[in-house]
Amino acid sequence: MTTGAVIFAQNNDTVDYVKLAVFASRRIQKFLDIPVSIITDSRGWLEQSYPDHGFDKIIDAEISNKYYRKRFHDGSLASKTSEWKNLSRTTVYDLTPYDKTLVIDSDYIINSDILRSALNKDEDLQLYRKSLDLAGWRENKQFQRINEFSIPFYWATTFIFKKNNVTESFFSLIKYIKENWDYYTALYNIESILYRNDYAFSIAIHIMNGNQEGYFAQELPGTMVYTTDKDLLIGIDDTKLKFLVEKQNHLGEYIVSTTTRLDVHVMNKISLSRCLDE
Amino acid sequence: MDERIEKAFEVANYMATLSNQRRLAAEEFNQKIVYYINGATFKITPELIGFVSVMADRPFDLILLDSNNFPVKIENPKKFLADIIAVYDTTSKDYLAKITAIKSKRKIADMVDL
Repeated sequence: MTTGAVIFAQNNDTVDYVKLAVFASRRIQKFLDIPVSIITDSRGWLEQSYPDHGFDKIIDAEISNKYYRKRFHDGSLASKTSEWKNLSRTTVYDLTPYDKTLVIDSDYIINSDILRSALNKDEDLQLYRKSLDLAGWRENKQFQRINEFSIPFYWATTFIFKKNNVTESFFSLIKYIKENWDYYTALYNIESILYRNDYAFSIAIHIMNGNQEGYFAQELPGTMVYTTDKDLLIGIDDTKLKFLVEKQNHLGEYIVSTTTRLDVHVMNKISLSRCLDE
Repeated sequence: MDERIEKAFEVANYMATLSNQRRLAAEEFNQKIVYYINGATFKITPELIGFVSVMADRPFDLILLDSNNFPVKIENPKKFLADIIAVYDTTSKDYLAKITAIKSKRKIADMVDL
């Protein structure tokens, strides 16, 4: 059975996702020691700008004109609206070259080998349900249930799946949910009109469990540690990350926070990109 | 601004940073006290250590529920016990050292450089 990781990278005019993916790939190889492939619509940019990228395989994502527009914050005071291409995640089942695949967002920084054990587990699907915000004061209800009265929230940022009939059905279901997004937002009372992979995964897991809590999806070890795009990443020193975390009730003010040997989802891709340039 | 008020805000900022760093140190500890065996995951707690200590010498199979509530047969309970104690020992010492160091730093810059 082959095991490897896959990262999606589809650039827009604000974020060079390919650059983030190259960095994320190096972290995976360093801590988890598995091959990494990239699924991208920017093969030319990757080969031209990062010739020593180290990817196992470069897989072309379908170039689509269908995308959302989303506001990308860079701290609590600056933001920019750009394209948000998050619609191809459902293709990972067909595109991955591995039997068992770790899928991560390009803004997920691996700093430990905690996922290594999960790669050795014989489970169909593993992903995070528990999460921890670097800013302790922020409301995180939206990351516990997809709304106050609804089903549990699962993170599609990082997951491991094994190719088989069951997971094939799971990804078919996600594709169906995506194609009928308006219906599912109404059915599950989701406020966001933007398609979100986290929500689609959560709904599909709920359906796979027979519309109740169940064992289809197993939790990845540890917790999904994250910072929102209202925070700033200001330094990366091996396994240590330094952040400015938004301060409560003081717009534009921050407190410094550092993490050591924790995998962190850095939603402020602009500051992550800036750090990689330093 | 009154000097005392300015000082008070500085202290408040220091306390907010201290509090957050303690929270993150606790999370680092929680992620490190995880033990894996035969595809099962265990969070090592004093209760787990105590239970396995009691059961390790008994002449029948040791079955534990892992973090996902799946039953797992522990083939060699004595080795399992020694391993989880070793992980817990190392990790808790690291945690203590980190908390002690964080509390000893009086400047934010020193605290976050740990």
